[in-house]
Amino acid sequence: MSHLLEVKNLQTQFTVDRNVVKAVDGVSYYVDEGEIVAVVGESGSGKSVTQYSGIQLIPTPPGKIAGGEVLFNGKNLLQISGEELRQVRGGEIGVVFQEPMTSLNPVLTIGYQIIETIILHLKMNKKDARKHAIELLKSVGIPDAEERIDYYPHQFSGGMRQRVCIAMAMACKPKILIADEATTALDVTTQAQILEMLKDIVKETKTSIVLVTHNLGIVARYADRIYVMYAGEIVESGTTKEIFSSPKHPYTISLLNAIPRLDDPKGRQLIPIDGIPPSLINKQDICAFLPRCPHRTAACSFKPAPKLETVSGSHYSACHEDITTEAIKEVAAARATSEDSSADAFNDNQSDNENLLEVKNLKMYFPVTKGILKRKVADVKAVDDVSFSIKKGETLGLVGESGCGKTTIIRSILRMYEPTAGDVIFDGQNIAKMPKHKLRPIRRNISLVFQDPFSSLDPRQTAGSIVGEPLIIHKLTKTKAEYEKRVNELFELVGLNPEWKNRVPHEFSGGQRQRIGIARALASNPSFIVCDEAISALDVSIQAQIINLLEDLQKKLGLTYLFVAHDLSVVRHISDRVVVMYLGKIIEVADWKSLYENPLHPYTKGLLAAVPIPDPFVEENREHVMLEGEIPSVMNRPKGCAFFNRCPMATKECSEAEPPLVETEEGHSVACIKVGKEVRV
Amino acid sequence: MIAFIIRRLLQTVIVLFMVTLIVFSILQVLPGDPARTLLGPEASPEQVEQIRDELGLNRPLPVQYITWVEHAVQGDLGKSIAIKEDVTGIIGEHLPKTLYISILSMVLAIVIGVPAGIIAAIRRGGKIDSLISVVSNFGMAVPAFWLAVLCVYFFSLKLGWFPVQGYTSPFKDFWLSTQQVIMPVICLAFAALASFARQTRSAMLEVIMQDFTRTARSKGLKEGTIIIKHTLKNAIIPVITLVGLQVRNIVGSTIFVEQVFNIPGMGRLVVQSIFNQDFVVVQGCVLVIAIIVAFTNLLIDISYGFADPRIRIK
Amino acid sequence: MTTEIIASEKVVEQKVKKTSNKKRFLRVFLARKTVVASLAIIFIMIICAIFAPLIAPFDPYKQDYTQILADPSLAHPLGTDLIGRDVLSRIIYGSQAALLVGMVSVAIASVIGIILGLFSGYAGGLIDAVIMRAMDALMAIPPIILAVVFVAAFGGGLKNVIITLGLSLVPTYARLMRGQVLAIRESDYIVAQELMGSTNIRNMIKHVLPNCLSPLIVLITLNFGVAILAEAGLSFLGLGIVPPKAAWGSMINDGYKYLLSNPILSFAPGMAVVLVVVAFNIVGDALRDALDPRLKGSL
Repeated sequence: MSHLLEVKNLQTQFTVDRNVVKAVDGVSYYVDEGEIVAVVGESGSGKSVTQYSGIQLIPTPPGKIAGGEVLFNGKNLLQISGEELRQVRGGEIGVVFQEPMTSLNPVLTIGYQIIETIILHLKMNKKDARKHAIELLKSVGIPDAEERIDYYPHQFSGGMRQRVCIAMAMACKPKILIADEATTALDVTTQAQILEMLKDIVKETKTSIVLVTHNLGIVARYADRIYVMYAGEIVESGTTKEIFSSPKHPYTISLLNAIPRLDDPKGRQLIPIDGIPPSLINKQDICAFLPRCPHRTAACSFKPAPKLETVSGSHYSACHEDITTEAIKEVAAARATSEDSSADAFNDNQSDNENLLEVKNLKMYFPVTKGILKRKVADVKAVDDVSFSIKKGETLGLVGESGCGKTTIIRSILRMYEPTAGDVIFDGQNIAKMPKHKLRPIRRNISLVFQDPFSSLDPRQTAGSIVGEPLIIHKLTKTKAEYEKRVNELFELVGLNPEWKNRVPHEFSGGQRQRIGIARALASNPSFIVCDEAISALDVSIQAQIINLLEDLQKKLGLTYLFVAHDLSVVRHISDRVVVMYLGKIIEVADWKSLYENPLHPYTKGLLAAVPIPDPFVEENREHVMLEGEIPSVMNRPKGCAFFNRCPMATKECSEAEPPLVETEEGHSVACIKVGKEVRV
Repeated sequence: MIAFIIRRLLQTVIVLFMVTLIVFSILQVLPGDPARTLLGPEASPEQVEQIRDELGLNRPLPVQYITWVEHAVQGDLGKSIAIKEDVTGIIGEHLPKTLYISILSMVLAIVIGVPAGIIAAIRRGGKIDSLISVVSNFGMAVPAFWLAVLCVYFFSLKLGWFPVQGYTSPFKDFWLSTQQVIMPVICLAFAALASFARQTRSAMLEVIMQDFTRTARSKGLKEGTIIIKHTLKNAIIPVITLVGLQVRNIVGSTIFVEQVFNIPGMGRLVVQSIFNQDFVVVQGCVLVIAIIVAFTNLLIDISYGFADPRIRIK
Repeated sequence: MTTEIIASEKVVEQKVKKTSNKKRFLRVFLARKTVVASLAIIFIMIICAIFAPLIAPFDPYKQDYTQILADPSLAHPLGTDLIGRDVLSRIIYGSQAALLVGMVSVAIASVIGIILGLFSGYAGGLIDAVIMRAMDALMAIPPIILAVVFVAAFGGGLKNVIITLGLSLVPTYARLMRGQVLAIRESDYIVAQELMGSTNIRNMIKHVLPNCLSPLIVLITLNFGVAILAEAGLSFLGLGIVPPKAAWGSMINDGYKYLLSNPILSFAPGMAVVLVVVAFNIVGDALRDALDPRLKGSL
């Protein structure tokens, strides 16, 4: 049987610094009509390059397609060029790229960009093409499409831009739509909306979708079949259920062990994959996962790279060993330190502890200026009357989508901003309005771990001097020897080799850099650490390493965390209590258990429903209730309940007054008049 | 957008105020006593003193400055010491010539430089690209006055194609004027042309690397369409910035080119006045040139808005 | 647990051969032959300037009335000028003025500009506004006209030419630095510094300045050429280096009068200027590519 798209032994190489990088190394796969095929892998696994190679979107040089065939409808796409190739691009294969912010041309209207594709491939006249474009925009859920078609990209939000990109890619009813991490940059609820839309597209148009992603949850929820890529090769393939129910390749197994799930038992120890993905420069003919593999045997290192072999039916895996379920369990057990002890750690009763940080009625407004003299005309209420507290030794998770004010809260607590009003009481002292010089000694006790391990380290300083900087600033060590000793100590504490002190940041991998950042945060012996999306920039296989490190340090040093993130599964895993924010306000606070198992606020419910669980069997039986619409801009906050216009439970009274945050049960507060009433009755 | 323009206008006024300060203070230290220059070497100290009083040179500096600015705002730039005429009048006579050759040069530089940069970017790494890069490298290094000397030698003295020097108004004798103006314009334009070619090339390459170019390719558009409709519109924005810089350079280079080709424009006026110790004229010239440059930059900033919808529509 | 992590990190520290920064820099930098040739030109110029008395065949000031406006010959490869001075020797000596002007004026401009820019970018507010408007004002006057006026005011001669050109180049540095400071200030690693309670001065010197070096080095290299061109221009107008001291610009001007009979009098010094300036420009561009590929075209 012939497939719609069949790729055979594809080889794509890049020449970088005179070295050959085998980005795609002998990849074969196929796509049939009307199916959703997922290509899963971490950054650098070659998953995107594989897709771009087929339609010759690889920049050449430095790229080069060194071999293989890409058969589409019987035609080898690698051998066509010119007009023929352009017919396929956009006409029969559409692409949606990762970055909605940069994928659209900023100086052309979105209408122009869609219409030019339509005219090109469907040979319509301008008027019909415009009509068609408006229909397309409507079909991807752009409100007021007739008017907005003449807008420029910067006038849309990220989610809306991605919808525009999808409309553009779907404009000529392609047979295949390649979605390259198309939802990665978007908020969870937007991500769910867009993926549901793509799924509907498949149903309606029989278009096949190639879903390129690193997110196993998305794959479990939406894909029919999966290809797992590692280091430029496919290491495992099969139907979604085959892969998730009986993963065979050690990489797939390890990946599933490393990620936290929304339905995990609490206290489940994440089992990180050691090390970092290999460099693809001058790749050897040997199993690429070998150095990180927990199942490796001595024999593996003498054999050439394993080939994909049938496991059962359509399930293939490329591994020398036949890994049994028992072996998997054994390894997992050996690698996880006793689960009980970590579970104990979470059951620690911190409710007796006193508050380390107390935020009371915090307000942070930014002026909106207008006109020549930049007169202040209004306030943006980025954070509006927020109160919460963190007890000593606990981890408070703070979640919410973009624009909810979580970054502003961090910055206010850290006094990068001076709050407009309210108190920030840290360790008994109100720091909200404290002058800078008085603040300086207090800064020792509060540290921040940044999101981006690349930009948060000074590229011109050595790792040692970055970690030692707080010691110098706060004059914590007296002698040179003492300083060196402390820096070594910190390196060891975060699992870095002290011999690497003299290396500069770019010589480290992302995960290692994040460790340096954590070591710097720990240097002044702080009691309180703010983690600002501290793991979201890392690869999935590395995230678990850092999560475990943070948990470990907390136990060892008795740290208190404010853990800010958008990944609800990670927050669930690490937090004792969780705060949910929406548009500058707290809408729900509870301990992790009540929040995740009994969410009260309709927004929290929607948020949790939007998070896919990396398990197709669970996903099958889950109800997919989508939150409609987008988060409004903070600039024009709706009257009454800010969630009013998206809320499935909303009635007229919701739009009349802002709901207060009411404690419905012990330790569980929610800001919703509907829910509050129910409980009172 | 209107608020932006008005704010930019205010900024320009502040800049011009600073220019007057700079110009005024530099010229306070110019050598020679204007009164002495005016009267000649035979004048007695008493006469000099009397003229100094009349010219207001004995008043305190701030008062002199304020008077000068007051008059300048009304279009009165004082009286020349050497030729004893109104500076405004003298400048009015010299300025059009400089403007004429400068504008021609700017047009020439853009009309040739920008397309050359585009071609170089499209044919990156090819022969045309290397040729353009060599020419522009030299273009930016060749002193305008030396280029003028070379031109005179080859095209006037050896080949006899153009007159060696002189200037005629195009309204008077268009053909002769054009013949006389060709070489100065080329000499003025050359460095700017090279800059435009380079800037356009690198801006184009920068844009070609952007994600949206890849999107355009993924839609199956022709390379030509991508270049014209997608790349160029973005790449033109940094090129517009360069226009501001080049206005400065071209106007500055007139000082040399007018000297070599004996064109009675602003550049030559400045140099002559310096040699004549005619500081009132120098003051006026520098001010007028600065005003021209400042206002072109204002226009350029405003034109950003038209090129870039991100500025036009907030 | 922690020791386990260390162990695992060590396992993973594969011997991935990362080309060192220095090697990469040198390879990109010296990739093209033109760059090597340009470096050679600059090197020769420096040698000429330092060892002029040893290299020059004649005393550049010695007037030989038997050899007035002589054509090129074995004795005088580039001929002699109107008072019988050897042109080649004068060009060799001219490199002294060019080099000195280039180096010192760029040094003055960069030091003042860097300080102003750092200050302006870090202080912000009114100080920033005043400094930047002043820079705008300086930039509204074409640099060569500014230089001409400066020289007219303070007199010609090597010292004044250097000071003048130095001052007129200040705004470029101030603007570059300010832009860099504003960009780097926003970066997480400076935020990290501020959260530690580090002082502004410490941040500026230890963190901001080192990270601005790449574009600065490029600008400095390119400005050598700019300064040499400007010096030649001033000398051409008779406002620069005072005769009889040898300067390429004034040699072009002197030769201009004998263009028909002895074109080489103008051509040769002009060639020297062009070669040296082209060399600095090419080296500057190559530095830009080698120091940071992302920097391309941002200056």
